[in-house]
Amino acid sequence: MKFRRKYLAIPYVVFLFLFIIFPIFVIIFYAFTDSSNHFSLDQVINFFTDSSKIMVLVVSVFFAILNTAICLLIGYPIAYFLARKDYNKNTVLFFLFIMPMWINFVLRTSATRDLLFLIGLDGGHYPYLATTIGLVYNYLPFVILPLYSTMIKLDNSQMEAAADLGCNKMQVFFKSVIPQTMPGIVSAIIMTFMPTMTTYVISDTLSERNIVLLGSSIASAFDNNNWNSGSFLAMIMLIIVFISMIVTNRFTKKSEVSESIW
Amino acid sequence: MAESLSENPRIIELKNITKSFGNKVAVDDLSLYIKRGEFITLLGPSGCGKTTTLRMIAGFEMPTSGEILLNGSDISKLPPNLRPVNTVFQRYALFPHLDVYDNIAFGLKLKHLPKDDIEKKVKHALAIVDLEELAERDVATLSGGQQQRVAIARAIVMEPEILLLDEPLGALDLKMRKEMQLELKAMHKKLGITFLYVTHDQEEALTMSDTIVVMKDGRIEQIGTPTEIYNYPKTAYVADFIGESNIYNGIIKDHATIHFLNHDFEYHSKLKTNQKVDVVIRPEDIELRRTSDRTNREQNLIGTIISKVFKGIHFEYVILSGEHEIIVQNTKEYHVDDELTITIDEDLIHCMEKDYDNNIFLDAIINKNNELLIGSDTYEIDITQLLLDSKIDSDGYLVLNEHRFDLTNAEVVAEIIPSKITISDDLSLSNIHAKIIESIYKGDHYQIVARTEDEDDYVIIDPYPYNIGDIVSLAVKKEDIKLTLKGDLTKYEI
Repeated sequence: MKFRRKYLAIPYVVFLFLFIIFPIFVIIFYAFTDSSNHFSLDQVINFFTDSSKIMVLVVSVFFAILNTAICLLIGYPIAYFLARKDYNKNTVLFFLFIMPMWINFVLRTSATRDLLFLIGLDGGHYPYLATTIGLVYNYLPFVILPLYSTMIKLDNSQMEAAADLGCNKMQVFFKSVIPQTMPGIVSAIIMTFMPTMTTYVISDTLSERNIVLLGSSIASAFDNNNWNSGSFLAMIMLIIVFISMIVTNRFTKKSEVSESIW
Repeated sequence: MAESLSENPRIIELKNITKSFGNKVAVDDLSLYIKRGEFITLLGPSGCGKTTTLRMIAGFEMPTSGEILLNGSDISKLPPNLRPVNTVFQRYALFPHLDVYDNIAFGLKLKHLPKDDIEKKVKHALAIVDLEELAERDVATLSGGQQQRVAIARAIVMEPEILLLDEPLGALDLKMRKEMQLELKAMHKKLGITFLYVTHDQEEALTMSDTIVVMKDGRIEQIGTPTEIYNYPKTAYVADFIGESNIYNGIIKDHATIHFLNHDFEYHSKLKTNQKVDVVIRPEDIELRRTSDRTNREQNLIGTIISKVFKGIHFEYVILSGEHEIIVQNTKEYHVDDELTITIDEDLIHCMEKDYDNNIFLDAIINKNNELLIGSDTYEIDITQLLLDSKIDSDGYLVLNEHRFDLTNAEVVAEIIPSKITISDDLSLSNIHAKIIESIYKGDHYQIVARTEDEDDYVIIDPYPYNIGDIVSLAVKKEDIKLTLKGDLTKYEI
């Protein structure tokens, strides 16, 4: 048998089926069956009639949007200055900013809780604030990294062209810098928005279980061997992923997406 | 307004503009004015300050000192968006997130013009650059030439008072470039706006410009029409940069004779007798004749062809006469090893005072080790030349009879003849390292200018070429450095 290059793809295809496609079907199967594996719409009815479950979804989306927005607001200028050679002569500062990524996630979150407790912002009294601080702290590097990688390639002459054609400094930013960094912004959103919805360690630890996000309720459903309910929630999340992907893709062209780190 | 405009034919005036980046001076006390409606080209090699000058007019760089006057008022502190000037960038700098139409409409939309006006103007601009069908296209799908046209349309649609073009054709292939040159020239005529063009391509400059400004080291070397620059270069540098030329060292023998190529030529001038000059002869200005037995070998310049290249409309020969190489372009065919008589019409001999003759360092100092300090480079020298028959004693003092002199920190003028400097690629040969910034072939040798880190320039004569930008070592024997003491020797007596 002659060796063909496409055989190299076999391990990947096997992996794809075993760990991605197959599990998705398993989730869909459990979402629309009952405990005796018969087709049922119980979970659909359960979810949409239980206001507490809807509330979890609403709170999750709220936190995801809030966290993404704050991270972008803080991360964008940081990435901009880190990427500019005239402000940041070496990459040390950049690594300092993304270093939290390299520290164990659970450890980091516990430390945040203790620190917030020390300054009086404990989750018992300020669950929303504590959770938000924890989320922003954890996801900021994931915003800075893709933004930094597009900003390093910012085309200075495009900015000059915008100024040349009549843009003041503000307009240069909105009409040239933002469009040029759009792929980075999209990557940053993808890397924060969905993970925020699924996280439960941060919200559980920092809000002292006062705030339940979608991730926590999936985890507790599975913990209680309620496979059908957990799967349905997981499927809801998948749908939101697809919707958010479609929305973010609208803001950017395909050619540009391929340039970002995704 | 219209009246005041017609009174002031100078649309833009640069007054003593200097721009430095850190220690590096990019533009050095440059003054220049541009006439309304002309096509002016800044020409020079990379690093000569031409792009920096354009960027200061556009507003991307602020001059360190000096004034930029537009219609008589100073704009040097204005940001680019407030200047009635638009730029065509070297790499086009189109906005990839917008299509062709929106790229061109970008500036008009910022002006909040009515939609109909915008559409009319964009369509007109598209027609000028011949891209009507591509309005809806994504700029990434366009060819280099098409992108260039969009960049031009985007600038001219703003109806600027001056259009700045920063090497706009550099990224195009040769055929495209030639086509665009003619189109730009036609566009300039049609639009009637002032074009300021920056290029390092002398042919491009000669083809398109009304006026050429040749720049070197942040300064203007010569300003003139293309024919003036080509036919009457002011310096050997300009001659070498514009077109192919033969450059030789010459000397004025008397008011009617010049000597170069080891031969006397008739040349009437007002230059002083014994004045050393650079002689420039264009390759197409040299006439060739076969030598016959009747040729007077004493009175004629005779050479032998050592190489021959067919260039389409003419042959290019390299002729060796004595030690000198002469490049000649001629439509008649000769062969390698043919012996020819060379004649040059008096009118076609271009003579210019030498730009370099000798290396003279006015601020040299003798240090405590009796070495010469030029900038931060040290040279071994013979200080006994400062006083006839003197010696150096064991303490390092200069001694003559009973007098002793301590020359530590003495200020001197040092003179080094270009041919006495040894230049080498081997950096270990001396501690003095310099970068080649200029190299001009003079028939039998190269005249090289090397610059040290302290920005001291050395002129060197060497039979071998060195590449511009190479780092070389320079060495001078101590007997070849001629010293003259500033002030009287007696003040150093101890």
